[in-house]
Amino acid sequence: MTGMPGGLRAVLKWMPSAVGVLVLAGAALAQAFETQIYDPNTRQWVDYTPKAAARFYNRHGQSPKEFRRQVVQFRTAEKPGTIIIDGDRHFLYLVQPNFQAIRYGIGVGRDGFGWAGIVKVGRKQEWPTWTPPPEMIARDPESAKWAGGMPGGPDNPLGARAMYLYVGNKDSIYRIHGTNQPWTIGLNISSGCIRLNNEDVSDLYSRVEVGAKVIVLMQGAALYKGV
Amino acid sequence: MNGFTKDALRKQTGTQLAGLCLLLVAGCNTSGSGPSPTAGSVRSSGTTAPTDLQLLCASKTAEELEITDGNVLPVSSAPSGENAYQVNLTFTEGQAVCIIDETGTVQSINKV
Repeated sequence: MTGMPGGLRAVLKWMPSAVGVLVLAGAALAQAFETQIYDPNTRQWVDYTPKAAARFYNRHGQSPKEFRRQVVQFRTAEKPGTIIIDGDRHFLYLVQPNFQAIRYGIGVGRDGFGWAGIVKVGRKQEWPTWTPPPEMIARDPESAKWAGGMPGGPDNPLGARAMYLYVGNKDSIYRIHGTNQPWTIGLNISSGCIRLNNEDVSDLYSRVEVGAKVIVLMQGAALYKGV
Repeated sequence: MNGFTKDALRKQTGTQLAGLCLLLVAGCNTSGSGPSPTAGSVRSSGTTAPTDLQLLCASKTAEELEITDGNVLPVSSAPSGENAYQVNLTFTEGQAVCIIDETGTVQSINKV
């Protein structure tokens, strides 16, 4: 919710090397992957649209099982405490000892707002204030009333907790945060931020330290300069 | 062989035949190669390498190419053959392609 196209300007600084890899990968990979859900009536996989997601959430009171918090096997050389975000599958992994990880369901950037890179948690905040960036106000005049900052609370789009992602000592403008729209987990819907439901973001927040490495994977997305 | 043993053998043979029949019936009802998804199952619209395999490729590439800044990033991946994936990686000074199988064994790393 807080990310903005302005952030893409920073991304573009690293684009020359990214372009080479994307050409190598093929143009077909440039499209963001989306979630599909199985419909047992038609025995078909169908698009998990915002409308379908809201319907599922209203009916079940939670997101699909795969997007609920769970411990999974995870073979990695990354040290415990590292956050790995797989935007294509809508999962965030927090690396644990013994080749395990805690997996959370996430919502990620919509088309044109996805990104990939290696950053770190620079700051943490409980019930953060949300300040729409100028680019967002330009796109959505409704957000102008919060130009001075929307106080933290249940209606705040950042939800219960936020972890601010930094490149070196500079705020990337992207965050891992909660949400006041829990049905959006599993969707490509944000302006580049990574959102979890409020219970999950509070759990993650309690386990993550400032300085933790964050690796963001997203097929075909623009690359953010690594730290 | 006494009467008890013969009776037990008859029962065992009957059980085995019943089991075989059940297997055959079950076999007739099988419509796909794997278990059907259940209601509410989700998946991604595209197939990428499992997240941990992408990262294993990144760490092995850093090791192999002696990249010490820790900035090897998987940027795309796709199935390669039946049981392996191709992972495309970028780093400060270039790109590389890594092939890794489902067991996590890196088959090749090539700088491009």
